[in-house]
Amino acid sequence: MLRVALLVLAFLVLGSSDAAAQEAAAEGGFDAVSTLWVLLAAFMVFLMQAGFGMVEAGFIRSKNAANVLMKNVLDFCFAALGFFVFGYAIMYGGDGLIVGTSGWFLSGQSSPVDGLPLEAFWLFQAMFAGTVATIVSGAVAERMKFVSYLAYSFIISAFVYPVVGHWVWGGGWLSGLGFHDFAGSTVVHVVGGVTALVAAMLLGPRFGRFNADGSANAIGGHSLPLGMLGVFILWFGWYGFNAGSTLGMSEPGTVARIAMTTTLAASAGSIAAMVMAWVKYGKPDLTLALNGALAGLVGITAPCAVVTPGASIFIGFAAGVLVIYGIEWLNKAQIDDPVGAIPVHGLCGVWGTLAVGLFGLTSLGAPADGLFYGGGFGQLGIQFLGVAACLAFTTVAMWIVFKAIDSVVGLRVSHETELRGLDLDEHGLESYSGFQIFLTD
Amino acid sequence: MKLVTALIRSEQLPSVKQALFDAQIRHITATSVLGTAPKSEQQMYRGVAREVSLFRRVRVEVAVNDEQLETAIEAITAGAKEAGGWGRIFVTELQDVITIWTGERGPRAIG
Repeated sequence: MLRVALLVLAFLVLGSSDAAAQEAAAEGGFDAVSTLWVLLAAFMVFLMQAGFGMVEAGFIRSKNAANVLMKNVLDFCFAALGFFVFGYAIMYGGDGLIVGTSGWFLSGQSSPVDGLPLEAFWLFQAMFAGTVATIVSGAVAERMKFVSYLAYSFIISAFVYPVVGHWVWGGGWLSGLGFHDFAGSTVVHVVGGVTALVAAMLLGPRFGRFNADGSANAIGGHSLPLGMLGVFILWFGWYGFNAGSTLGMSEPGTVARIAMTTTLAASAGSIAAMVMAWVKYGKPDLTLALNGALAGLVGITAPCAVVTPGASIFIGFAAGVLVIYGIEWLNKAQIDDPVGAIPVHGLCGVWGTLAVGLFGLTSLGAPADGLFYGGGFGQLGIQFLGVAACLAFTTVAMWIVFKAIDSVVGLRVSHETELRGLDLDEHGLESYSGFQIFLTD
Repeated sequence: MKLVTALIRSEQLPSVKQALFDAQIRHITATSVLGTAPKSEQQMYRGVAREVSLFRRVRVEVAVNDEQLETAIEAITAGAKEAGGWGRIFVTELQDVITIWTGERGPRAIG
């Protein structure tokens, strides 16, 4: 065991010194401004981990808050290592149609972007892998076993996400077709959202969430202030996510426009969801307005660079409406998603991907004009094919992964653990030790 | 000796406390509790209705000698009426009272 560990360690050290040597040779060729921007964007996407953690902790009961936070910490750590050892090679290791096959441990790789160090490119991509993994923790909160979650998070970021990433961004078959997903409505959010759906269906709902007659019960989140803080951290990080996906500063106008469309779509999404909740349920619900902002952000992620500000408002507004119907559908289908990850990331990810085919403009960099600008159904068809393929692959792959984990260690905690809370039974601690929390159910 | 227990709403606590203080009754204990109301309340959370039947309440406890009982009840009633007028007061017999520091017992220990 020790010998294997030493061999792996030696390989890591040799591999990285190899990359460092190449770097030193090319040191003069880096663009400082672009590198700075991509690194800053990567750091901002990193902060989104905290955003996810706060939203998820705030939207669930206090007895499970530490558990969901643990999952948020560890899924990032496993994603970073998994994406270094396996993920990067599958995603960017060569031009294979289905997967890349070289560059394990980043060995022998050079940056695919001129002027940008490989390390900066890797870091930015690794942050995305971490984002995919963490989307799911909210949908499976309050009932999924910690150890099963760790296994899942390593597998998705090391093997499953990189395959879809390769198809779209790494030179795989979808990029050859002209499929356009600028910052990852499909690659990140549909993959995360669909995985969340598969996991939530396999796990089943939290105890007491649905009645025997199929009607739903509300299980209130324990801290909406944390939820709101989380959404604004996510929104802030999204400027790195979308505007950083330019992978440089060679076109400052595009970077600025992306920041603008991102802002408008998020705002329109929040307003739309708030209005929908106000009309349908009688009062403006904070948690739904927050979901609406995230829905707008997910929706604009694919088309952020190639649509006008006006179109971005429409895209965000539609996403905010969609997310409400998505939540209602989940309630009818008795699928329990405590934070709304499935409609926000899955449904709005699909919408954002299709929006490229509706609103895209070649003058802004789209592969073809969208349907609403006289470009016909061509691009829309490619977008549909692309998102459907990624959705189907992720569903099948993750179903197999979760079934395999289930057969080895089980997916769901015991009924007793669920009732006592995962904080006490899985981690032996309380999130609010020393504070009095009112329990009303 | 009597134990006066008042169940009130949290927004009534400041005026109830002030009324007891004004009546020279300064030994009170307040606790956060949950209690039912005549009607439960419909709330909506993420589009799903929920019936809330337990509400946050405050329990105020005052131990008094028999001659102070009516004063305490009047003070609590007046204070509670200043902020809506809801609430219940329960009066129970106290078997004994002991001050730990001095060891005093009975009516003298109430203070």
